[in-house]
Amino acid sequence: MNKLQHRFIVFTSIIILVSLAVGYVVSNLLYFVFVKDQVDQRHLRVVEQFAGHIEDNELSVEKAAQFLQSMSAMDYQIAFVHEDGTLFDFGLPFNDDTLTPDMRLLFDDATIYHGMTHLQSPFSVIEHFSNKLENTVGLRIEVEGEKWALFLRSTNESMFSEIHLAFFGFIAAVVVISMIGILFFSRKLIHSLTELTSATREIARNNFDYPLTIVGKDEIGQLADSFRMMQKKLANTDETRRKFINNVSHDFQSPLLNILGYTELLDSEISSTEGKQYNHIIQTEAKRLSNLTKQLLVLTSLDQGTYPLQKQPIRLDEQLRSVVRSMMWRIQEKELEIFMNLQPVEIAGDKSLLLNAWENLLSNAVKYNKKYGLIEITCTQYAHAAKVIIRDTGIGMNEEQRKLAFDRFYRADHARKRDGMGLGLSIVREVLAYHEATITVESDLGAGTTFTVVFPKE
Amino acid sequence: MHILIVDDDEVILQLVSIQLTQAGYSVTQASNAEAALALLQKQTAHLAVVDVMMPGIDGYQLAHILTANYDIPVILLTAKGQLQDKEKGFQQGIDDYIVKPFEAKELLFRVQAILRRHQKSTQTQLKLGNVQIDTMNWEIAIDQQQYIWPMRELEILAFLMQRAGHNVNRWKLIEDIWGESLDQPEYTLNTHINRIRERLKRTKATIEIVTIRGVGYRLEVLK
Repeated sequence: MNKLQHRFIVFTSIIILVSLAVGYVVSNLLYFVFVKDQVDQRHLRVVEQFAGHIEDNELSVEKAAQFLQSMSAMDYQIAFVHEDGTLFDFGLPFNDDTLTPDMRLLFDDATIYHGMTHLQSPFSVIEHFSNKLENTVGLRIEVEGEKWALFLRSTNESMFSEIHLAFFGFIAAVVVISMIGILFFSRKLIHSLTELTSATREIARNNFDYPLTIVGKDEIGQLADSFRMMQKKLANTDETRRKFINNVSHDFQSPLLNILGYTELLDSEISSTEGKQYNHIIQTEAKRLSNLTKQLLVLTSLDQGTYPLQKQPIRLDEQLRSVVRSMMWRIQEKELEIFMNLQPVEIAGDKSLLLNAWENLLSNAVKYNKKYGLIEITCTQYAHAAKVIIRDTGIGMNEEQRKLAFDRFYRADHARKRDGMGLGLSIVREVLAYHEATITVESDLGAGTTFTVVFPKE
Repeated sequence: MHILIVDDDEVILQLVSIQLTQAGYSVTQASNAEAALALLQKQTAHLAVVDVMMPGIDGYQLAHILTANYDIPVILLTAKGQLQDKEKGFQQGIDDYIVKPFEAKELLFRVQAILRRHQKSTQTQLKLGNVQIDTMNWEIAIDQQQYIWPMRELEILAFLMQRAGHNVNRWKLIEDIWGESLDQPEYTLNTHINRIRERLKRTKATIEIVTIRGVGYRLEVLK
């Protein structure tokens, strides 16, 4: 038996014991308040009838004894006591037939003795069944001109009627069946828990396929459902992580191999034009690597959710302006015109993360633009939102490219291989998701791309 | 033009020196702030490129000394790319910052920009009609809207604006903007002027460049 089951049994037993104790007290109280007097009255009536019969017919002691003897057959215990202590008992004999001083009062001035209402405490219902002479109803009676007393109680057998036995059976059955039920139920519960425990262990071992057999609409069933959902999500994450590592290692490998290859070429006999050309390729590849690591750093910290999000008030217009300034040489190299319509807009956000997002969006707008092209940057404050629009007159994307633009490692122009790694926009999306902002993209192939970012205002 | 480079990383120090020397600047190298300050006693500099992370006096402190005591503009090299670095730097009075790793072109662009700014520091804000030029940031505001123009075009317009209402000789303009090394000076100037006119028109500027035959151009306010 394992611990949880053990506990269930202990708790159930405790509950049964406590309910029995409480039931005992309650029934005592009921007896003390209602039943006791009724029983007393019932016995008093019987004893009065017997006494009446003896006195009215002026029966002799011998006859009275005969009469009482026959009456005792009706499940009564009867004591017939003379003033001098002589005692005849009829029916089942008493365990204890001592006369208390109270009973002796019947030979003085008292006419009735209420032994059954003498019970001292409300918690002593059991005394009701004590087979003592004391526990009777008594009456003074005159036989042959002498003082006698008649005491009477019903036998315990008559009180324990069949219905009482049935009740005892009922209680016993409840106890036994609840014990069995608890055993069965706890075994089932424990089985579910054991299964969940093994499933959890499997997850710790990176196995997300452990089959859970638990079904049901109760809490355990719900837990199992959530668990299955978690398994699926983890399996998904694991899959994306694998793909991601695959992609990353590939994207690290190819520029490294290029660099290696071309540095070897530089070792051989080559013309200076060739040398410059090779050198240029090496530079480009090194730049790719540098960009890749920079982006990965941001992305992984975002992924792990360990990035300490430091929300503080940010002026979007100022931030956009400063990003534009930091890109000035690239803008100037392409001789672009920038149009800035920047209203003062303040939101709560993480400065460095958002800066990274704008850098990615704007460097794309510059990188994919034509010479003498245009970039339009607007940021506007609305009642319930702040909007940033970045529009360029660059090469644009087709519908398929546009849909995949935010996917990790998706690159619209594999052949042209600019220094993009396909990570920039996916970083942008995650950063914006961090800020509960949405980003949408519209694009015309050859005409340009527009990114619209909307920050909801809390 | 003399540039002081301060970095404790020998490789970067060497690289930056070569890049700037090739661009025609004379260069002094120092591997820490103390050495840099000692060198300044012998030879002054027009600009300093300073790395943030250095043992002893760090880049921020050196930048503060250079800008406050020597009036030398400073470009800060920061490795982390962290915003805090940049802000801390600007508080120390630096003129610009570059995040490592950087390209030679980027460094040269910023060096040129700062030197130019410090040379022509006389007038950074120009205004005519509904056009306002901020030569400090290459920004131009037309009809309350802000634009960034290609540098040459903005410089041409600024040059004309400083002489608004007067005829400007085209050769004087070419010399000021490009110096003397230009292949097809007149053709290049024409293209630039045309582009400026197109931009002014598109953005509803209230000024125009008038061609003065045989002489050059004159900037006027539209009536």
